[in-house]
Amino acid sequence: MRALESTDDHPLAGRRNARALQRLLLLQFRPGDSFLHRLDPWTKLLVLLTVSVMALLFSSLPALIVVFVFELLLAFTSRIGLKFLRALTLISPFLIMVIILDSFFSKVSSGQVYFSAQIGFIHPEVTTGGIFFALAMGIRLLTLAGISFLFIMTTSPDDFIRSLKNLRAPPVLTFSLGYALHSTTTLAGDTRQIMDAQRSRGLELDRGTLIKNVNKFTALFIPLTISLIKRSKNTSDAMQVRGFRQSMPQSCYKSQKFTRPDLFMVIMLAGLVITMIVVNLYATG
Amino acid sequence: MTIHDPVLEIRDLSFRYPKTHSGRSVTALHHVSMSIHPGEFTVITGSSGSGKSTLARCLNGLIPHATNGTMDGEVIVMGMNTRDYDVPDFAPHLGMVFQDPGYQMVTGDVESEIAFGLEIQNFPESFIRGKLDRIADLLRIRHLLGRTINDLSWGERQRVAIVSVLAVEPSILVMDEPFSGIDSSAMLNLTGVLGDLKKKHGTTIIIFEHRTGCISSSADRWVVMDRGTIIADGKPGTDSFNRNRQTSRSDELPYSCSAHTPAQNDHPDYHQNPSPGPALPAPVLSLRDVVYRYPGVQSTVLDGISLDFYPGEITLINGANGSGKTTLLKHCNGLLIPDQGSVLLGQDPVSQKTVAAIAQTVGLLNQHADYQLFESTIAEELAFGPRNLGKNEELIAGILKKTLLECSLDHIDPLTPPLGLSGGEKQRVALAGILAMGTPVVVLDEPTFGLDPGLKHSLTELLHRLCRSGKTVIVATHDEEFGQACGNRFIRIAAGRIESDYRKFPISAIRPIQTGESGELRGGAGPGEY
Repeated sequence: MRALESTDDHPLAGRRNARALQRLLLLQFRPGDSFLHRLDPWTKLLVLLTVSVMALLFSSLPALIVVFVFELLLAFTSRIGLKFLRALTLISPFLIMVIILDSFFSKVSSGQVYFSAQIGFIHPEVTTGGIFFALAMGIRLLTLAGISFLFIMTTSPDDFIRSLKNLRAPPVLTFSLGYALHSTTTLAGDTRQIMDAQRSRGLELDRGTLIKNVNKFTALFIPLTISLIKRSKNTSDAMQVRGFRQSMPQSCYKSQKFTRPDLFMVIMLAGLVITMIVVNLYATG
Repeated sequence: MTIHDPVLEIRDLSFRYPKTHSGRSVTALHHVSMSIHPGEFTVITGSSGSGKSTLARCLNGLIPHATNGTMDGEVIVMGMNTRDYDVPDFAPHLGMVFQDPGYQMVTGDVESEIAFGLEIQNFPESFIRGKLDRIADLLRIRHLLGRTINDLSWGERQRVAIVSVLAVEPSILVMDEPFSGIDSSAMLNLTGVLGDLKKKHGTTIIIFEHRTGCISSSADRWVVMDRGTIIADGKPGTDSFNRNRQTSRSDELPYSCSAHTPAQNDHPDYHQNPSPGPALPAPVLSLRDVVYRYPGVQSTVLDGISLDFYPGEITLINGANGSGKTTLLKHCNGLLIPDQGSVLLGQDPVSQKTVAAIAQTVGLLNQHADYQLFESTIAEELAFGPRNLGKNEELIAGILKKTLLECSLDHIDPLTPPLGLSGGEKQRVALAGILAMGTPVVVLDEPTFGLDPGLKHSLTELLHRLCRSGKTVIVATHDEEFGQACGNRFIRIAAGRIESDYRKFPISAIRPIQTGESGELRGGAGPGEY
């Protein structure tokens, strides 16, 4: 969360791997006040499901382009477009792999043949139809990953938990889920602090490969386990002191309501489904 | 129940913790009896290991319900016996703020945190929203609503913790060591808030604390504990209170707070000039125009800091919570590399070496002992650093003995697992682990956290000895009482810049004492926190 960036125990404060970590941190909630941000988390979940199902149902390139463009529009209207594109680069290794493999071992082989070989029982072949198929699979992967990224980047975990509470989900479930979500932040901070403490005592973590460093992990693992156990004990005490009980019904101070933007989104989704069906008919037709 | 009945009654309360690894069974409370009346402001004080924390846990049923051990006697809160009711039953009547407000937070943002207690009691949404609105003004935290907990400084978290506890309007507010993590301005602020609560809302307030400076004027009643019993109880200044106090081994008296806020101009013997005097030794560690910001953040944490640290001097770095103290210290051994400027170790820039290589010269102690202890015995724990630095076993055995003595740990069997020790003891093992490395520069981040005056005093003596043997000691602390007793050079940073930098004595006046001193030193090495 934003918090990570302003405290002393910033997990990126180290010298190594900072850039990689920073890219992973793209995948976190970005506070904002856009159309997408204001939607009820349940509506957003519906968007996530619809888009994913559509991307899996259709395999023609034009239909997949439609759903991907829809996703890009959503990202850019919620003013996280560039961050969204940068987050998508996280899956580029998979994307390249999928496109290359699908070009050579395509389920569809039609049109001109660019390359064909027989190596044992393997029969790689590159055709125009195959390339289109590979591109479609690439876009499908982008769409599937992208819509989850978009959900994560525009939905505050707290809002999500709150909407679960509104559905009268058991307090134990909503609380544990919320606590787990916050714990990732604290866990990252603790890990950073422990690494810093042990490096200050001369533990060399900046050099050598991961495998060489395996025996050094007890120096990190044990303090981390201890601090986790301590934290959970403290939290359980704190919850009891505040009056938390597993079975009692709870109210929620901020209820989410199905509003006009939510209705608008549902209509847009219906539109998307119809467009994709039509485009697909033309494309295969 | 009439208005004159006590809101809280403790009758002949004893508590014993189960046996620890070392086979010790610690009796934390011995036949404690007291009653607290509505609207009373009580301060319960005592050294580490006097049973304060244990007593606090007895007040809302965490003892006996959520703690292992044997309890005798009774605690009755608002007419409810803690044996008969469960911990959550006390929540509407008794609010508790823990020592570390970070541990107390159960949600992710300020609003949910405050609403949590009300949601649990199933109040309707409109009621909770109205309540949120009113209570935010009471403690002046309106500007914090809508922020996430992780964004907040320690002091802000503490205020949120108080508000979220007060939201359910408990009749009693209990705070465990509220002053240990905050600087003096936040301390005064909190004292004001507590005074308001007592006056305007008639809340009964019970504070467990050993930094008792600021509250001396507001409190109605002082209770002094020692080794699990109450040794004095009453209003400070009265004869009976003072007579009883004499027998106390703890030396914390209610003193005035303002005397300890160092205003540099008030001290004529302070040298305003940060220059170390005519005889300038070569600096061991230098920061040159260090600018640092955390990745992805616009604002700078350190904004052009230049400092030289000299051998044989204790430098105190002071500043409000979140002013950049820890960030500055992390630059000293290369854990952080400045965005602009440089950090020089003698002549070599720190950025050219790994942290582990710098550890030959600079030993840095983290705030939390728990972050570094992991070995199965104290001896192994102390040997970890020197082994990493490539020292041979024979040398290490010698270092071990000396360091244990220095840190007043020689009464504990070195084969005890450090994780089973009390809070204060762990802190000293962690410090010993750093000192065992024998680095010429020793950097300590908030070393006094959770230490009582007795232990702080022995830490002061230890640092003085280090400094006389020619080491450079750098300490970040918000504890100004400790700082004044301990340091020679005082640096105050605010918003990432140096606000003041002055010395008590010019550096040439510090005469290094040759080695050969015995390190005998005994702190209040009691049974520990619990």
